[in-house]
Amino acid sequence: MQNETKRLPYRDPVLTDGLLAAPLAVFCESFAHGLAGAFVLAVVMLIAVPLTALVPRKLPLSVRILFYSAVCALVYIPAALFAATLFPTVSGGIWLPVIALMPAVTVCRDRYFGGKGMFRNLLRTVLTVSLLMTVFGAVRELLGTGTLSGRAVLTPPLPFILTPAGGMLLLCCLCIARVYLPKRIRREAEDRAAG
Amino acid sequence: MLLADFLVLLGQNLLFSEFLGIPSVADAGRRGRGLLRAGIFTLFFCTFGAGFTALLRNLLSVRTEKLFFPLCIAAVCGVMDILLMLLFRLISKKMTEAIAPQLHAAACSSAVLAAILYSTDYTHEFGIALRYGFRMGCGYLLACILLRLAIPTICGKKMPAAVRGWRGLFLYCALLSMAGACLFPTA
Repeated sequence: MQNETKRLPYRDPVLTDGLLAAPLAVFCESFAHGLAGAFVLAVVMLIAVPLTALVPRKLPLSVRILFYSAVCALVYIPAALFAATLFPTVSGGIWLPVIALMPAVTVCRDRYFGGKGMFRNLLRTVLTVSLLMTVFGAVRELLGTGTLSGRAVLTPPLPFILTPAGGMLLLCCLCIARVYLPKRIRREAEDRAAG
Repeated sequence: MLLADFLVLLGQNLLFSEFLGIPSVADAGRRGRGLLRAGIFTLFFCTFGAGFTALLRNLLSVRTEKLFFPLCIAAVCGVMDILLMLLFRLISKKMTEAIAPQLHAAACSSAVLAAILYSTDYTHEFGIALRYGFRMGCGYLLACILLRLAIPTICGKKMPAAVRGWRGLFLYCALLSMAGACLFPTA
């Protein structure tokens, strides 16, 4: 259990494989946007992935992908309706469909959730990616507009971060930190043990 | 005139302006020539996907069409993916195996999804949607060609390990996006 908890932040498709980069970099520009995106992602993944497990593995990959995408698109319909009710201020635009039909549950579905422990992997992925989207949105809102969930906290230190390029740079920094920090922590622990 | 069109296509493409389809590009970039193949297939899906989805739009009611667009796009791209696989299999089995990853990635690419959504937002005429999708796809292919030139450096051993590979590609795209936003603020 302790090992699982330790590995939790390092097993998501965003920071390890770069999937969902566009919705994070462009769509999650505030806490509310991050929450709306995380909600749609969680609903689609938690319903669509177990349903797509019923698709026979004997079918060719192109046919399986067609079924996976169709199931995600069907689940998206109630998810989008709920999201519009829960987050009336957030305009989904093209982004909510992009989140619903993300490659992790269509073309890469078998890679992420194909083997044993599908439910464990699914819950872990939903948890980490939803958390990442919400925190990313909140940090971007704080840095870009100086507010948190609409309340003024400080003067905007980095308005540039609200642009798509700013979001992408922030995401790159997170990805680099994900590679760099564990190595550094491990090296420090080894140094401490040695000396 | 041609140069102006080229610059507008680069400024309008979804990869540098909104980072759509970037995971497919990063994945294809690992396989050398895969990046150009992914660009060509994305151009194909953007063009014909937009056209056929515009045709299907006439069957949907105005109130529900936005909710059903992802389903229409999934069906159109899925069927095109299967047909293309069958077509390539008739030509050569070996070639089909080589191009299958890029073909599937393009069929499920968020760039294709967004290009079709934009085009169907804009029109429900088959011809106009086809032209709109083609323009988006051309921008994407041009972006892929630009990235293909940078891939050997980005994936080279001289790059620090933390930014080598797809992370470097993301960073490079972000820098190009910033440069594009400064050079063509109205594009």
